[in-house]
Amino acid sequence: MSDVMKSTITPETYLVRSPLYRLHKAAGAHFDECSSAAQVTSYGDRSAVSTALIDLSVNHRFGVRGPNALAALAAAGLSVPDKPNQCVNSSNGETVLRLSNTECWVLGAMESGACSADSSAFADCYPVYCQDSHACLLLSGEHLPDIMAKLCGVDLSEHAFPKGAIAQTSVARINAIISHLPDREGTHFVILCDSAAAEYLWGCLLDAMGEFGGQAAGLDYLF
Amino acid sequence: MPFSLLKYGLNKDYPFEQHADLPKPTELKPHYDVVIIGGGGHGVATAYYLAKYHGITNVAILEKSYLGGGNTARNTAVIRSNYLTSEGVKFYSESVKLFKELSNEFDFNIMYSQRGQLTLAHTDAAVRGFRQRAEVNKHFGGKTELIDPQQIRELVPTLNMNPADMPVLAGLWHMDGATARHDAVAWGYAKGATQRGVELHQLTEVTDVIVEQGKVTGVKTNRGNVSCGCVVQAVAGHSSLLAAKAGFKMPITTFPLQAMVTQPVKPFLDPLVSSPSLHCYVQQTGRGELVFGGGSDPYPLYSTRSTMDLKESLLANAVELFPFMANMRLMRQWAGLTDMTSDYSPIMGLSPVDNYYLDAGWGTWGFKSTPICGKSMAELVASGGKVPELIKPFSMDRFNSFRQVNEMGATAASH
Amino acid sequence: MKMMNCPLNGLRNISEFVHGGEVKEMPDPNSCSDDAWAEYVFYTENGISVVTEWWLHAPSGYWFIAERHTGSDEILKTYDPSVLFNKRVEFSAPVTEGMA
Repeated sequence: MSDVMKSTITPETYLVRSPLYRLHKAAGAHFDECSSAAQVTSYGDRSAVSTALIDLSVNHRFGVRGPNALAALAAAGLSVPDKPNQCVNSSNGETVLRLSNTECWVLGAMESGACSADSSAFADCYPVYCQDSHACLLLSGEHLPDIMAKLCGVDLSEHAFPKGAIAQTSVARINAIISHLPDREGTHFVILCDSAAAEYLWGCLLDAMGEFGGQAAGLDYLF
Repeated sequence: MPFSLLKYGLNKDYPFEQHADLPKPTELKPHYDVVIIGGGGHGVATAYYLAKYHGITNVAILEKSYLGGGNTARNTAVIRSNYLTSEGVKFYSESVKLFKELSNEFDFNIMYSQRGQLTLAHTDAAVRGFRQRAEVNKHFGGKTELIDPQQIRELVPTLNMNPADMPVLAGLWHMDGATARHDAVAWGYAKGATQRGVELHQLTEVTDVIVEQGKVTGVKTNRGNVSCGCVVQAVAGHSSLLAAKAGFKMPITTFPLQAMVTQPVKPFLDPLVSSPSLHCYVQQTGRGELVFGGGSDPYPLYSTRSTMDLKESLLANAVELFPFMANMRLMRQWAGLTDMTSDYSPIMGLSPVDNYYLDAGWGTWGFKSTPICGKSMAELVASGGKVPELIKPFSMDRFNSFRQVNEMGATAASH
Repeated sequence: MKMMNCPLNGLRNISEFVHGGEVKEMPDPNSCSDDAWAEYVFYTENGISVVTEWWLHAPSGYWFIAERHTGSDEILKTYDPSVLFNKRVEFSAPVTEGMA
């Protein structure tokens, strides 16, 4: 993509936007197209930052629940965790979060942001819409348990919260789902929260990261 | 030493007792025309009005602890009538009128102090609700109006107009809002009632209610059995427990409500200030202490413990309203028990048991209704069970006919 | 802070939970009397004893059942509702005359 094209990509070009897009724009973020929306690619050069907060809200995700949910996802070729509050990666790059005995959410592959299906593909399950209702933030890098300990009562250190674990709890007094991503080098927490509270949580996380040198970043930080 | 003082010192009878507010305890009689269970403000007010207006004095108030020692002592002593429903406004405005005259009537200072009450709106929806409340109040003769931020600044210069990033858009200014010494209200009523022949029996716990063929005939107490013509139950915080002894259930759930008081400071806050959005109300007492209250605890419990988490959230909001209070120290903390109904209105009137009258469901609106509730309950008892018009909407069977009195203005701090 | 053991999520601060009221048997709304329905909706035991209650773990939207003492606030046990409810409750509107 030429530089001229790149500069014309703004969140307003697309119908799908992150609840945080105004904040990114005001902070001078650079955008690129990703799953039919403008994804933040960078906040300037932040490659040396020890901990990054990245907004993945425009990435696709969907949920299904009901007694058939687990079997239906497995039949569609996705890997399903054995127990609630665990997550696994599927071979196509999607991450399946098992949130209860009979409910799973599927997060699109991180780089492409795309899902191979959506809830409507699972006729014998109850659809759970979690795309626009939720914001999806990625906390990535060092000191993550220490940062989260400032905001959250649950112990998220490596021994209590290993790769593949999920904690559904209160973060800075709002409800959130924290997933410790499996199979990926380094520590990555995906935090899903109500989209109406996204701006508040974004500020809280940046504030908590500050003392550890953490900053907001874009997808370039990962790839 | 003056001779008179020496005389008192040598006197066998302590002279003070001739002038005591309450008579000495006596033995329980075997029968009373009326037994009132609960010696809090409501119970003694009912006895007072029975004796004063209806000449019924063969009355015993049975109190398991001491006079006014339950929720009468635990409320934050707010008097107001700026409610939402016409039934509620009519009822509570009668109460405000009675409160104003009580000190003179008792010859006993209840420290009634009309300060005005200011409720803050932080959202457009709250402004609309306040406009309605102001109109309903004015319609029934109350002094309530909607005021703008400039008027609020003039009334309470120390108030932060942008607490917790929720700007104050308007206020409901209720000029009738007041406070009074809650213990003194109970003592004033008790003094007036006992002077007229009513018996107040403290440390007398009702252990069972005797019901024969659907009609109450007496009560069992830790001091023996008493037969009676009728019973008034006025035991805020324990309504469901006593009703169970009489053999019926109530539409009530009991929650703790926590409050606290700071060290005293110079007078700076005249009106009572509350913010439903911040779940907090603040007032300065005559002694200079600041009293805080908030919403009830998040789940039912029969315990008056304080919790750190509720204290933390309540104080965080109070400090938002008055930032300089961050440096003040708390002196006391306590909790009362609130009998919550699902429509935030009280329950007064008849019960499934004949001659057993209910004065219950007083949630967080009990103290302010003390005079009018006592007066209405006395009328109910004296007429042998004819429910006065004023309290008809508050009968317990409104729940069976699905005619709740939805009182969204019930609490200064929303639930 | 007081803590509660969520059957799905483990031990958590009590502030993560929402109280949902006593577990009661629901009468058939289409055939029961008004009194029976009012009894179910509004009237409560509200005693000082161990009560069986509904609770919600808000961050996960998970409803479960707890046995708690309303005097001491001691939580005796918590368990999945499938222990008491093993099939879905279906609601059907009563057939009204004159409706197509």
